[in-house]
Amino acid sequence: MITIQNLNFSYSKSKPLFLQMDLELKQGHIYGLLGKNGAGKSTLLKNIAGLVYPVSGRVNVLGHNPNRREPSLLREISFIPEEFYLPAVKSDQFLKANADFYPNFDREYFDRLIDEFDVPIEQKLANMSYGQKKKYIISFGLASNTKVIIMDEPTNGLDIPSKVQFRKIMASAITEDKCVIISTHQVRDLDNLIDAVILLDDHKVALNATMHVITDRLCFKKVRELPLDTLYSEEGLGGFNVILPNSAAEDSKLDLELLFNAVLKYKEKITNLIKHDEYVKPI
Amino acid sequence: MSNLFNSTRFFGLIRRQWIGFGRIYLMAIGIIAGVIFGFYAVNFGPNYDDIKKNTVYSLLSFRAPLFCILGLFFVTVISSSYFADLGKKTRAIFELMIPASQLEKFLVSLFYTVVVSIGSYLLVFYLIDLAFVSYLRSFGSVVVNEMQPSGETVSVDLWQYFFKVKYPDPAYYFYFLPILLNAIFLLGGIVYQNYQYVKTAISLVLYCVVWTCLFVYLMKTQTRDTVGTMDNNYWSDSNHIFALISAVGVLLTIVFWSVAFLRLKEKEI
Amino acid sequence: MEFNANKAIYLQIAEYVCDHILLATWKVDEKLPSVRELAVQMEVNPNTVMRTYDMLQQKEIIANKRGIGFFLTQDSVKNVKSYRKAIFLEEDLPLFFRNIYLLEIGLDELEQRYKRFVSQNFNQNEL
Repeated sequence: MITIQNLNFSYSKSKPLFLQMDLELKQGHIYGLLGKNGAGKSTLLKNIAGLVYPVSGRVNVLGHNPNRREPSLLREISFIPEEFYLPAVKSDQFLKANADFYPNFDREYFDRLIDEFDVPIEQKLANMSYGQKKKYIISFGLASNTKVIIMDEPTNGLDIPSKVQFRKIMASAITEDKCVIISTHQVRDLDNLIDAVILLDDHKVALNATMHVITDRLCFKKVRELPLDTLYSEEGLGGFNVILPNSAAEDSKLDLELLFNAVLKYKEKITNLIKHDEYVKPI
Repeated sequence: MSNLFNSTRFFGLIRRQWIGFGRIYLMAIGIIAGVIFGFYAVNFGPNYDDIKKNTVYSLLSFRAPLFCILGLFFVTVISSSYFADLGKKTRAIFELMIPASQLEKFLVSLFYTVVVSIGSYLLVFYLIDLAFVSYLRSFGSVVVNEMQPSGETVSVDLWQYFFKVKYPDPAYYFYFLPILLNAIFLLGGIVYQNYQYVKTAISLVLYCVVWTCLFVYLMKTQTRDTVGTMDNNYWSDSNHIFALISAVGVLLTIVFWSVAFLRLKEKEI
Repeated sequence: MEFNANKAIYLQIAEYVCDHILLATWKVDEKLPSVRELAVQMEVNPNTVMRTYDMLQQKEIIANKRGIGFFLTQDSVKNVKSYRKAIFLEEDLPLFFRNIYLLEIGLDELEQRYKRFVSQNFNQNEL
């Protein structure tokens, strides 16, 4: 659905951000995009949306080059940025002006989302609080029924009930013909929602695998004493949180934070165990 | 559906852009109308007694400079603010991601900054002029006889409506000017991230100064130790020179529009 | 739902489904929540629920009627019990044995306590 090949990108010549990056995203998944500050999460999202131009390499989204910004592709992408602006008009006026550009926009679904998110839409959009605006723009993006949904830190600024609503809504929004990419620092907000992880590090995609494949190869455990085959460990309350090779075919719960730290520290030692991404049939 | 141009999307975009741009536009045209009205009022008020006696001749001479200066100012402000949103990251993403072609987005910008803004400026000026001059003419008219350079005498109505006044020929060769400025300020609005108007204006002035100096210098060196002749060649007719300026102006307008379109197409954020 | 940190989510959802079957809040021949409904309720990815349902189907706890959804079968309760029993014997019992060994709790004491527990918590017909 989205393929990136040999992508080189930099904002300034001396500091390359991506070097020969490859990435493939399939439909039917919610991808969690992780990486340190400055690893280029937002920039990768912008490359996919065609908002920036790579130095070299190919980006292909639904068979289009996003840099051409063709309406037939744009209408299949919802981009929900971290910082955004809503005009000083009421919701109805906003929808009248914008919804027609998205042929699959579903007004009923939009109203349902607004209702579930509990967004008061009698006031002008510009007067809403940050969280309300965010929920409004997420609702608009989802109701547009686009094939690609890109979200940059969507849970930032959402209160606890809204985060719960967000997870429920995203769980219902993903269908087999859609691809959702969510960049986030708030790993714990989303760890049960995403079913594939993209980890950016060192100018490249360090890891791109489904949660299923990762827990197939690795075992996440809490132990009193460190086993001999420990790949990575962090000391926690009353023991260690460890990553082990999954030699006993155990089904453990993926600890994203632990995995994130492990990959940053040991890179290939961890990623080589997961490398061969096997296709998991989407629902 | 075409990826280049589609009329449904085009008209949809006109409606959409009004939400953001309409506010700026209405505010600007309101201020402009106020300024025009103010000029008429200031010039009419103190001369009220003289008007009644039909003894003020130069009453309306402020109109031409006001029309030109204010008009160019209005066009440049409107043009440079249309794409100003692209300089703000929070707004630009939404603008660029709206599913319309870049050509449609550009044409809508021309629709608002050329057709709507210049059209409404002319209309506002026309209406205010109509109101004041009609009032003036209700006291009668002031007609004087003037000697033309050709020697014949014509009678000139000094209290004529602005758009009925006959201006010297060269003026008509400068119709391209507002459009050229539109193209330049539109481009400036896309290229610069902030303070688009000021930056464009400064660049434009610097550019003009450099070219003028260069031109003057070249002419001086080329014509040094030569004598101007009064023979009847093509360029001794000043109208031909104005026509050339006009042609260059139109060409430059097209060039700046093209560059603006390309920059819009490849705008990064 | 609150998930615990140590067990794979899809297994925890399986536990949840099995609980409903054992407690008979979901009855034989009744349609289960769709993958999407359950995903929304659990706030998890539908693919995870799909994995749960796939596994439960393999264990013949639920059955897929094409185009309609997942249903409980005549054998659901029986199969849940054998599935649960397997988990219990494999995971919980060794831990339990370890504790009673370390704490030196005799088997007679255990039997007494077990009988009291059953009579207090369940009426005899049920188990």
